[in-house]
Amino acid sequence: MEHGEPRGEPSGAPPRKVLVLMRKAPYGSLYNWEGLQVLLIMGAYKMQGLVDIAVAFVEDGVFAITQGQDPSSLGMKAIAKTYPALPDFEVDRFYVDGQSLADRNLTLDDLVIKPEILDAAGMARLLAEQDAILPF
Amino acid sequence: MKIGVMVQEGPYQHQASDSAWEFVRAALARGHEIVGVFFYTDGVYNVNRFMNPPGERVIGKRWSELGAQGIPLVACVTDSTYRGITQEIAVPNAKISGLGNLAEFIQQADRFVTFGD
Repeated sequence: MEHGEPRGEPSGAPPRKVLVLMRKAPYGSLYNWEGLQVLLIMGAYKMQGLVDIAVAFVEDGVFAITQGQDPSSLGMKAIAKTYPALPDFEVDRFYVDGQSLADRNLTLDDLVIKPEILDAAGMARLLAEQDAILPF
Repeated sequence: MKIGVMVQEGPYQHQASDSAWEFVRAALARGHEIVGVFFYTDGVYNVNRFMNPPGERVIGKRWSELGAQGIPLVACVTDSTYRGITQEIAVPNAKISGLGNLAEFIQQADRFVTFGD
């Protein structure tokens, strides 16, 4: 199949609930960046009504959406700049683990987007209701 | 049960690759269906046909044998391009193709399991 071309059967089945779970810091490994690519593809499938896509930031994953990133000396693009554009690609449900923020002395004001803050029970509910969780 | 699998790490470096292969074999032995294995990021190295570890398990060949049983093995084309993995370099039963395949596997699967770091 062509790269990124949705071709799922247009059945009457409800969309699969997919959560991309960002666990890792944005630089040092490509995990966060590659998770972003998956989000963009899943947005295309959401447009077809085939999936429902959300993204949650936990542990060091919260650093992916902090303001003021300048990884130019690493030869990397600033990952955080992509997140505010995701709603244009049908990805508009953002969650963050409140404890992960607090542990790193971060608040919503430090972030480039305004995700919904979940406590441990809320995060557990979010994970439990997914058909698929893709950890990055 | 229909199960989809993603592998995010390469062979001989990380347990994820071996664990994924063992998981697929065990699931098949239990009568489950594997809708596909998607190799992402360094995971694309798993389909390199030129692995030749003296006296050791040949991870690429093992995957290809599962592919010969009809299990779709797909390595991400973008990550493969980054890493110099081409269709000519891939084991016979693996395909180099797009991220859309990952979405297809997720849609088809009752459960989706990721092996990575």
